[in-house]
Amino acid sequence: MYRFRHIAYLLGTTLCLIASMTACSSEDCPINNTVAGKMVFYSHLGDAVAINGTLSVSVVRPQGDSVVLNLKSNASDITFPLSYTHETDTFIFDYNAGLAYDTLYLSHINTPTLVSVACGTAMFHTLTKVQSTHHVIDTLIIKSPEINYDERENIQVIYHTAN
Amino acid sequence: MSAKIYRLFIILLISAAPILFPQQAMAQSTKAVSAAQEEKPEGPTFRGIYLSADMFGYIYPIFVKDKYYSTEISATVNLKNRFFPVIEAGFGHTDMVSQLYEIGYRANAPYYRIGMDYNMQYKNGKPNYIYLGARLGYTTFKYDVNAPSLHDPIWGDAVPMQLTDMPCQAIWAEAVAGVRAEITKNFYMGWSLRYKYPLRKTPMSNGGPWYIPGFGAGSGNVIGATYNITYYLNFTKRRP
Repeated sequence: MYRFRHIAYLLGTTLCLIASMTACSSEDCPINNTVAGKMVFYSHLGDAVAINGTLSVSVVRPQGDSVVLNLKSNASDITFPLSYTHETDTFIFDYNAGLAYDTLYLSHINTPTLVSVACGTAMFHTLTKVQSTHHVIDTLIIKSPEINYDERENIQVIYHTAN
Repeated sequence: MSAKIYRLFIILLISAAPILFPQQAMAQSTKAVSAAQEEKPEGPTFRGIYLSADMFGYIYPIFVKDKYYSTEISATVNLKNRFFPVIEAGFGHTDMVSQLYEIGYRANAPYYRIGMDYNMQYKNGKPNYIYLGARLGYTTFKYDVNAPSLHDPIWGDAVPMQLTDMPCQAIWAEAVAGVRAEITKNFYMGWSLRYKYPLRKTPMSNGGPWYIPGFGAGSGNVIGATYNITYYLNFTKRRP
C-alpha cells in the first residue's frame, strides 16, 4: 500500500511539474521589432544639435527614390532603413526644401537572422563604412555598427557649423 | 522569472512531502532515529549505482506547441548515500514548424552532462531523499532553418531565409533540485527540476540556434526537468 502511495504521489508531482513547466514555457519576444539605424546630429564642437529649418531624407533606388523623412523641422536625429540585398545604400539629405544637399553612402553587411521560432525572423545589418559629400556635413562616424532590434546611436553626423 | 521558479519548486516540494516525510518516519521519535544511526556502522564508501531513464523528454512535448524531444539515460554512483557523482547522456531531437511564422527548425544531436548530487537527508539513512546538485552540459550539433523569405519594405527585394547545416557547440551549467523515492526493491522513481544557464555558444551567426539538444529552447536561461525511472545496482547488503 505504501509503495502505491509513492507511485501516486510521484505521478502527481510529475503532473504538477508538467503543468508548471508548460506555464513557464512562453517565450518573451522583443517589444521593439523594427530594424532601423539611428543617426544623431552634432556640431563640430561635439555638441548635440538640431537642424535649423527642415530636413528631408530619401533613399536612392533603381525603381526611383523613396522618401523616408519628409520636411521634419528641427531634427536632432533620424532613424533610417537599410536594404536587404545591397552592399551600399545612398541617402540624399535635403536641407530646407532644396537650399542644400548632402549625399551619404552607407556600406553594410546583411545578416538574415532567426530571432526565434516564436518571434520570427529579421534582417540585421552591420555597418562597415560611411561616407558623405561635405556641403553641410563635415564627417560621419560609426558609433555602433550593429543594427538590430536594439535602438542605439549608430552614426554620428558632424556638421561644419553649430546649427 | 525567479519568482516563478521559486514558487514552482515550493509547490513541488510540498506535493512530494508525503514521500519524503512518510508517517512512519514522522512517528518515530528523535531519540529512536538517533539510536538507529548510532547502531548503523559507517559502511563502505561505494554503495552502488543508480541506472536511470528519463521519461520527461517524451511526456512534456505532448503539452507544448513548439515541440522538441529528448531521450536520456544516466548513471549515478552512490558514495556513502551522501554524494552522487553522475554522468548523463541523451539525444535531443526536433523537426518542427512554428504555427505563427511557419518557421521550420531541425536539429538532432547527442548531448552529455557530468555533475554531482548531494543528499540533503543523508542523516536519515533512508532511500527516499531530496537532493541538490550541479551539472555541466556539452553538445555539438548542426541545425537547419527553413523560413519564409524576408521582404524588404523599401527596396522591394526578397531574401530567402534558409540556413542549412549551421554548426554549433554549446556548453551550459545547471543547478539541480529533485527527489528520489524507492517504489519497490531496487526500483526508484523521481524527478528533478533544473535551472540552466548558457556558458558558451559558438558561433552565433544568423541569430544562433533556437533549440540546443540537452539545454532546451531559448536564448537565455531556461528551466528544464527530468522524470526518472531508476534501477539500483546495490553493491552492499544494506539498503542505500
